[in-house]
Formats: sequence, structure tokens, C-alpha cells
Amino acid sequence: MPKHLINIVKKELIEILRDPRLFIGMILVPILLFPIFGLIVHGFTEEAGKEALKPVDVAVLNLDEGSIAATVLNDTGFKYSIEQLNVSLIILNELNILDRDSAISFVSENSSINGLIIIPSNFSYCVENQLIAVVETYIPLRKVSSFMSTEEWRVNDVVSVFKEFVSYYIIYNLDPNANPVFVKNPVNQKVNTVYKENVLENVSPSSIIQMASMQLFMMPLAMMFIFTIAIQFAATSVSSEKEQKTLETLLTLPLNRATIVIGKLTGSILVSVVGTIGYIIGFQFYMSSFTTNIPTTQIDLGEIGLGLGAFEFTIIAISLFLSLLATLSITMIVASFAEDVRTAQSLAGFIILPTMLFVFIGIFATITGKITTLTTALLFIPFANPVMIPMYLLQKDYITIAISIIILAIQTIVFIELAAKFYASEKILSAKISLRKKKRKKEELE
Amino acid sequence: MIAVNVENLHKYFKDIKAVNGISFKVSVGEIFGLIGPNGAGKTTTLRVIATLLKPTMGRVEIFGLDVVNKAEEVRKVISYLPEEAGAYEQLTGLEYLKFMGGFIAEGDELNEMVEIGVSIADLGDRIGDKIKTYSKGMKRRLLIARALMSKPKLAILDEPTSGLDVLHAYHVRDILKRYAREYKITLVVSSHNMLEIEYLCDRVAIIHKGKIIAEGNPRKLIEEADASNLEEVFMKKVSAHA
Repeated sequence: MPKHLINIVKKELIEILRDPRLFIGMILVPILLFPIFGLIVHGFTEEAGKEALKPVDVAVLNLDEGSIAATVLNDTGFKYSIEQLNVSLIILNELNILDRDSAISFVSENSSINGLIIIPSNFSYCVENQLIAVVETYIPLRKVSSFMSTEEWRVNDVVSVFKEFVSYYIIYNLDPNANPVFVKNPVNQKVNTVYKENVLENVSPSSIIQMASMQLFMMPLAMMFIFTIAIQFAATSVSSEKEQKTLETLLTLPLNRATIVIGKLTGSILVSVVGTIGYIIGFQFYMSSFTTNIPTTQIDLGEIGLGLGAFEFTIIAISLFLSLLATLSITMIVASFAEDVRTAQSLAGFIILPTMLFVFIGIFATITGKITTLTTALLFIPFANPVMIPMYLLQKDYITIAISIIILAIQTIVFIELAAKFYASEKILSAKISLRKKKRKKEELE
Repeated sequence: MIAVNVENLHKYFKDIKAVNGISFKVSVGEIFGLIGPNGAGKTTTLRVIATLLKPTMGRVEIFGLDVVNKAEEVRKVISYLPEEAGAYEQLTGLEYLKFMGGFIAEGDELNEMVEIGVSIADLGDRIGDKIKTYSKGMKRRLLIARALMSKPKLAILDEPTSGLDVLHAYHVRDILKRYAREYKITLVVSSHNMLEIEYLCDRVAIIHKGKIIAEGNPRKLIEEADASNLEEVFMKKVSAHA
């Protein structure tokens, strides 16, 4: 019995290990593709990390009618701690900016300033009477990056240091026996967001960004789902002709070869269109959870211009449709190398894999929220265009979007033409993956 | 009139010479057989005639139309049945005939064509069943019906009875002979089965290693070779050119 079992296992291993698809799928892909993927992702995260540490300015408007806030702000230890954070404080009082509205306008107009801290007029009174003072922060939302607002972090860091030094002030100068609960937390922070000259009260930039970035994060995943289905469908459509031995007969019928390609592509497109419509309807329902009012914060992303509306969805749908056409044309050529459906499914994996790769790169590319050479380069790759388009739509960079859609349309036409040419040649009958044959031939030559 | 004119046909696949300079002519209404061992070049020759492959060298004309330059026009007058042809498994036999006929005719002409197809296939009520439920013999009859129902000027049949049992093979041969004569279809047939070729063909060519080594009427070839049947002729000719 064990002998028979060993024989079967041996045969199975030989069959699996000699399959060239295994070499590509299990060796080539992990060795080449994933390190490349890692490098690109590392590039994006490193950039985000650098941004979180670069020197920034934070404005402070001190409205305190007493002297405590000024004392803390001028404290050497406090200044040293702020320097350690790589932050420079701009005291607006010194620039003769003395009211809230002027301070907000000044910060909004100066892109180098990360945020504004307003110390209230009753600050000293509160501290002296062991009442919690409320410090307001205003953070301009200048870009929508994924999951975080580095500006908010930096301002929060300054507020934390300020709170810490107020605590020290209470212990050293006011009452060493003060209520420890108060000493530990003498200041509360009220976070506000400034977006396009509007002040969104009690809303942190991070909460807005998290909602907006969910659009950028979930959309590529949904797209990946459509791509995967459409690619497999197109691959199967070609290979099933070979597997069912119907291709040769089809090719000798009195019809143009391009008609066969366009017919097959149309079948796949129809399925994809149904998928796209389903995706758009489903996604609009999904989006409604972000664009309708949220009880705690009362934010409507659509109202503040950070939601995706009908126009944006139309652009995304066009991009997705063209991208699908281009991808399916490539799939039809690649799947022609398969002699059966099983092989075609494996080959489809080699189209699905880069598609997924670009989807993930697209997701990471949105981390910094910055339009860079790399994100623009991704925009001109058929797989990645629909993934990158939403970010450009949120940034309202319509010229780049238009150029990328035109280039995508040209790429799509070229790929369809290539597929038609391939089907018009006799390669359609003889094409097959022959890694093993080449290897054997090499061995014979040696 | 000449239906098929093959002149000095060469077809190479990289360094493999599949067909190495063959020439033959087939007259209109004639049933012409290509016989030869595996790898002799029969299927490659038929594929060139059927416009699937382009000659490396030489010329092939179908009713005066060049298979390379006038491929689309050639496809209007031919019907090709590959050796391992299949059909769309999810369609019924009737749907398949309608689908394939739809590329050639429409309206009443299509209906008439499908009726002929149903009659040739002779599958009875099973014509309404899905093809995936058919036996190998039933599938082959359906495919032959598809190839002949349009009454093509030239039908190219690669191993028409390949893989069929004696009973089904007999039925298919009968169909071919009867309908080819009735519809005045020129047939070019390849086969391993010498009896089949002897029964069906007016003339045969024996192909070996990409070259024609004998050609003529089966009976004449038997007489000339002083053999008792075509199989013996075949063996003698192939052995002489081994």
C-alpha cells in the first residue's frame, strides 16, 4: 500500500513540477513581481513618512486676557520641546493679527502653515480657577490623502506639549496640591477643519479624509472584482473554442476574422457592461453612506465638494469601460496560447496578477494624496487608469484626466487591432506555450 | 473544369517540412482521397486548401481562386470538416445547424438548408437535444450534416470516420457518397482507412513524408501494383520510399 501511495505521489509531483505554468506562477512571480511591488509600496510609504517629519509652521493666536498662556509660550522648555517636533510657532499677535477670522484667513492663504491654535480670552481665568480651558484648533484641508492628515498630527503634537507645560505651570506657580485630575488635563481641544474658506466646526480633517479616502480605497477593490470576472470570461470564450474543437470550423466560415474577434469581444463587453452597471448602482448605494449626513459630525462630503457625483461616476465608467476593452483584447491574445479552458484560466491569471498589482499600487499611491510623476505614469497604464482617475477627480485635475482618457482610447483601439491581426494569422491555430519544448531543444543542442 | 489545383505546395513549420512540393488536381464533382501514414502531410494539405494555413511556397487554387489572396471568396464555396471537429455543447443539434447555416444563408434559404441538415444527420427527435448528450457517432453525423447541408462546391473532409465504430463509419460513408453525388459536391477526403478510400474515391493520392508517391484511380493502382487491395498498394509504395 505505501509503495503504491509513493508511486502516485511521485507521479503527481513530477506532473506538477514539470508544468511550466507552475514555474511562472510559483517561482517567477514571487521572485520578480512581489519585490517590485514591495519597492513601489515602500517608495510611497517612505514619502508619507518623510512628510510626517518635515519642518512645518503652526500659527498661534493668543487671545488670553491673562498672562499664563504667554508665559507658557515663552517658556524655554516649551520652546525646546516644540523645536524637537520640528515645528516653528508663528505667534500671530506679533504680526498684528488679533481676531479669529483674520487668523483663519491668514492660515488658509499660507500653504506653508499647517494649522492654527487659538488660545481663548478666558484661558488664565480657567487655569487659575481649576476650570478646563478650551483651545481651538483650525486645520486647513488642502489635499485628500488616504487615512491620515499629517497637518492634524503636527498641530495636535503642539497642543499636547502646550497642555503638558500648562500642567507644569499649575504645579510650579499656582498650586502644587491642585486636583491631580485637573493638573493632568487642564486643556481641552476643539478641532475644526478649514476647507475652501469654510470652517467645519467640531470636525477633524482626519474624519473627513477617512470618509473621502474610503472612496479611493473601496473603488479599486470593486474594479478588481469586475476585471477578474471579465478577464476569465474572455479567456474562457477563446479557449473553449479550442477545447471544443470548434475554432477551425469557425475560421473557415465565410466571415471576416475581425468579425470573430469583435463578436467575442462584444460578448465579454456585454457581460462587463452588466457588471459595470451593477458596480455603479451598488457603489452609489455604498457611497450614500458617506454622502448622507452622519449624526455625530454632520458632514456631507457631496456638499463640501469631496464626494463623487454623477459627472465623476460617468468619467470613471468611461475609463473602466475602455480599460476593460483594452485588457480583454490582451486577454484574447494571451488566451489563444491555451489549448484548453484550464490552461486559459491559468494564463488569465497572468493578466489578473498585474491588474491586481496596479490596483494595490494605485491604493498606495493615494496615501500621500499628491499628484506625482509616478501617479501620472500610472494614469497612462490601461490597467491602472480607472484606479487612479478618482484621485484626480477629487483633485479636480480635469486636463490630465482628459488627456489620459484620450490616450487610453488610443491604446484600446491598438489592442483591439492587434487581437484582430492575431486572429487573422495562422498563429491562432499554432500558438501555444512551449517552455518545455524549448528546454528540450536546448538540451538536444547541448 | 478544375475544382482544386495544387501546384508545388510546400509548407514548413520552422525547420519541419510538413509538405514538401506536392501537386495534384481535382475535377469538379470528383471524390479525391489523400492517404498516408501519420505525419505524412495530409492534414496540413487540407488546412492549406481550407485557407487555414498559408503555403510556404507553391500555389493552391479553388475554382480558380487563390487561397491566399482570395481567402474570403474561397471560404464562400468550401466547407471544411477537421479531423477532431467539435460542436457547441450547450446548443441543441437543431440550434447548431441554424447557427452555422446563419453565416451562409438567411430566411427561407436558411430554413431549407437546415431541413437538409436535419435529414443528413438523421438523428430523429434527438436533434432537439443538447449536443453534449450526443454519442461520438451522433456528433460526427451532425458535423457532416453541417458540412454538406449548404451544398458547397467543395467539401474538405479530414478523416470523416475517425474514431467511429464500424456501424457509424458505414453510415457516414453512405451519407458522403449519396449526398456528394446528389448535390454534385466535389470532395477532398483524407483517411487512414483504405477500404473507405477505395469505396468512396474516384482518385487517390498516397502522401509520404510530405510528397505524393502515387496517384490514380484506386482500381488502377491496385492493378499496376499487382496487389489485392489498396492497403497492399499503400504498404508497397510506402515501403519503397521508406
